[in-house]
Amino acid sequence: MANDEAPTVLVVEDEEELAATFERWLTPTYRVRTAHTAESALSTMDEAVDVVLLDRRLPDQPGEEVLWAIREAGYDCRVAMITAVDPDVDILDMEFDDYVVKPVPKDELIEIVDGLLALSTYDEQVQRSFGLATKIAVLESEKPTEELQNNDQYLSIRRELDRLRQEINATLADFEADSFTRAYRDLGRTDDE
Amino acid sequence: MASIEELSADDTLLIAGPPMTGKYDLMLRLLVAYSQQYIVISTKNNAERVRNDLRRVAHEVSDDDIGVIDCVSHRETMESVQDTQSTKFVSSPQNMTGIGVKFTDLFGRFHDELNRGHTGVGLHSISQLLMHSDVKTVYQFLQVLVGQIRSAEWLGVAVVDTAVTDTENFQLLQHHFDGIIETRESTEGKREYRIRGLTPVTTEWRAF
Repeated sequence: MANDEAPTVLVVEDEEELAATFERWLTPTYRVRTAHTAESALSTMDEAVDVVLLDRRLPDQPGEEVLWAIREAGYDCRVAMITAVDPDVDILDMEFDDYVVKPVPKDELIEIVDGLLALSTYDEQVQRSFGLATKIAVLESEKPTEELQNNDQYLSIRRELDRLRQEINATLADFEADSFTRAYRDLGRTDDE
Repeated sequence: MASIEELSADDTLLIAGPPMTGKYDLMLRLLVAYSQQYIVISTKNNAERVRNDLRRVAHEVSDDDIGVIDCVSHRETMESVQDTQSTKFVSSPQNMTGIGVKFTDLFGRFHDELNRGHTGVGLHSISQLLMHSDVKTVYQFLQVLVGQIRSAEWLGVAVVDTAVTDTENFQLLQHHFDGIIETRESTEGKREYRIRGLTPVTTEWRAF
């Protein structure tokens, strides 16, 4: 069983057997919740959920409605749509982060969840680094260089940024081409925040 | 002491200086000196111009070894422009998602398919990106781009015009790069540079 610190994955899938299989695959690494309908998906959803694996076809409402409701509620999670066929152009405008076509082998499922989590980690690290870099830039434009060399606050922010940048580079080192593309697609989205 | 002759082929560098101090020429020179294949993201010159400029510096370079992301032609010609294998068009420098996605295309081609030598990536220029988007988005864009270049251990050379770029923004964005090459025109009208960040002490000004 995954520990309390592990990321949370919500599996929304009406085929109970398949949902149970996904759950079995993911449980060693993640905390897993399962929902078989759109309604139960939304009642199970909360801030703790990091990744949603969302079947497009659900008995009560289409998966798109669930996606829309999740985005509308402002949850900061990654959503991968699970579809029976290759998605048409019509759903490419939708705000999901990835999609996967059934049948989904174990390796692919885990790869998708890991990829989405890496992207969230990356986002969070970049947001923090931007905050630190902004503080540094303000100090640098306000005070002369000689003074800053003895300024503890400045030096500690610099060290923190250096550390964070190493973490970011480590995150990026695991990125696949798809992750880079998604990170570029996120540029517009984080713009509004 | 570091000089432009002693850089590493996997450095990521920011060339910063006022207008007419040779930043673009220096970018081309560094790309040619440290790599054999080139990808240039251009917000100022169209793809044809970039290719000609690179050929002038590199002499023998085949068209296949130059990739260009042209953010100019679409607006200038108002005609539809078609992507080719090595030239990609983006509607405007504002569209950094488009630039990134097309760069990832070229990245795959140069990294996995061609791989006929080391690749150098040029970005000309950051100032233009800042004119169309807020500094946070540019910061995020550069984080991904420079990270991608680093992941392949390629050379990266970006250009920023310090005359049109807010000092605080410049301070903020320079954190993405290993070193800063400052350019200026000396009192005698010679172009000079110095390097910050690669060695503990900033180098003296030198002519180039």
